[in-house]
Amino acid sequence: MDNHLWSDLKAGKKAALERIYADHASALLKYGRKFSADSQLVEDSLQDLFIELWKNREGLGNTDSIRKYLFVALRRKIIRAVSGSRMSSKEPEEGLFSAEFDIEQEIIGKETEAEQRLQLQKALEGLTKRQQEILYLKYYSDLDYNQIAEIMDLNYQSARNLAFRALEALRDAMLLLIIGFLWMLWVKLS
Amino acid sequence: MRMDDNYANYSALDFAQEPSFIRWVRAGDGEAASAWERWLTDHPDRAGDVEQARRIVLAIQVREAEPAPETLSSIWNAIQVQTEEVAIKPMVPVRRTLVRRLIPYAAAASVALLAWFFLAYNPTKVVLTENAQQLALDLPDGSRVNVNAATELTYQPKSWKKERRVHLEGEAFFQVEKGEPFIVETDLGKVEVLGTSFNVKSREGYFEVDCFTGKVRVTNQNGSMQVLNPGQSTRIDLASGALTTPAVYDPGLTATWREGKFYFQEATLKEVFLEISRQYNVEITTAPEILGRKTTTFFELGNLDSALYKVCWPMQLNAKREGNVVNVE
Repeated sequence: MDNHLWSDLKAGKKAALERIYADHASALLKYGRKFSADSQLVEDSLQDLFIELWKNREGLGNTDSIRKYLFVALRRKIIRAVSGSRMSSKEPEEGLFSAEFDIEQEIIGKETEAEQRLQLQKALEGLTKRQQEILYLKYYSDLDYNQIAEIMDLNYQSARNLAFRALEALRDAMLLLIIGFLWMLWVKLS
Repeated sequence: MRMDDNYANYSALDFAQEPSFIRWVRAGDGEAASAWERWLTDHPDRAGDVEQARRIVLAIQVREAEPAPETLSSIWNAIQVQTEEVAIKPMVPVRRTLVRRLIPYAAAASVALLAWFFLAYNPTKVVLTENAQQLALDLPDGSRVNVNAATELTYQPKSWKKERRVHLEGEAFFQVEKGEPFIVETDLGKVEVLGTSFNVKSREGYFEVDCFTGKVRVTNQNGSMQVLNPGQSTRIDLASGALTTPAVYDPGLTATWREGKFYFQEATLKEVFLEISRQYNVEITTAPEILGRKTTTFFELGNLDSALYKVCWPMQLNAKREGNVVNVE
């Protein structure tokens, strides 16, 4: 599917470009907005990305995932624009990504005591920008760890470790809650 | 769906990263759900880890807004405009009677035409925005233009190296790369710069230039000339037809159309209504004496009714809307 669309694009079929835009633009915008609050900058970057994709179509390499390719390219573009000059286009060590995690969701809201919710809130706020980004890519962008590693410019194992640390922090924050659940289970069984 | 036997050895964190598990927890995905529920009845000892994993997945909730469909389609329009091949102007048609007489010369002519095509042909690139559409584009030297709604910008890509010159009807914000003079021509006046950023508005008899960085030289048709420093603006005075003495503008209120905000100071209602009709693609009808009234006002892209209310209420006017036509009384 991706292969077919990609070779149509390389062959200069405008419909392929339109299809790729329709499939990925919304996810790309949402991802891009996590790097900058300047929505004009993000939208301009997305626009430029597709114009360049079309202009350079003949020189495009192969890709196993169009989505991954676009995420990589948009991420670079926005980071370059945010860091201002073309010379220092490197992302700061701690990352730029910032998402708003929401714990007011039904399940957690109803079943959880205020104290435990506070713990979870703290854990989510304590995630580093890189940890936030990897959770977002894993749980919100329909990408696998191989693709995520490439997007975040990590090797596969580092990406797995980064995600593991983030999830571990959430698990630990919820430990109290789990103990309560196990106790209930034990009461029921015995 | 067949379940992997390895799941028996999964920890809570392993489950929480398993795509089919995530689908089950998140969406209650039918196929994944029944498979996981069956697996769970077969492995009751894993209930604790599964519950833990379920809660971890549910804890990861990101608050984010879906992009507006208008945003997505206006970006696509801009991409569309800039990936179009350069328009070729139609040639002047030759009358039939002439055709016969010209046949002997046809071969020679076509060779000449071909040569002209390669040597002298200089197509004009036309960038057009419609109402309710803005776009950003790069000129051949990397200079950047943000084009406001209902604007026409033309330039000649092939002679760009020799001369950086664009023609503008409407409004645009320029960020010019350093280099040879860069010229913006409009019907009312001309702007010349070396490398700077500035906003030009030239519409329906109104002409204004705001300098953001660098130096900008502005001349009008009468030969009146002003040099702007950063933070200064000039416009054509309607009474005298001359350019006004450079004045300091408020950067918070100037050229903010790029962020979807529109401020007016001592402007006529005509000017304000024209901007609303361009930004929202509506027609506004009203009495001529209303159009001449002066106002200081503000509106924002988003909701047409609230934009109309903000402008009309302080002037004790009423806006009635029927489809794409707004009547103001």
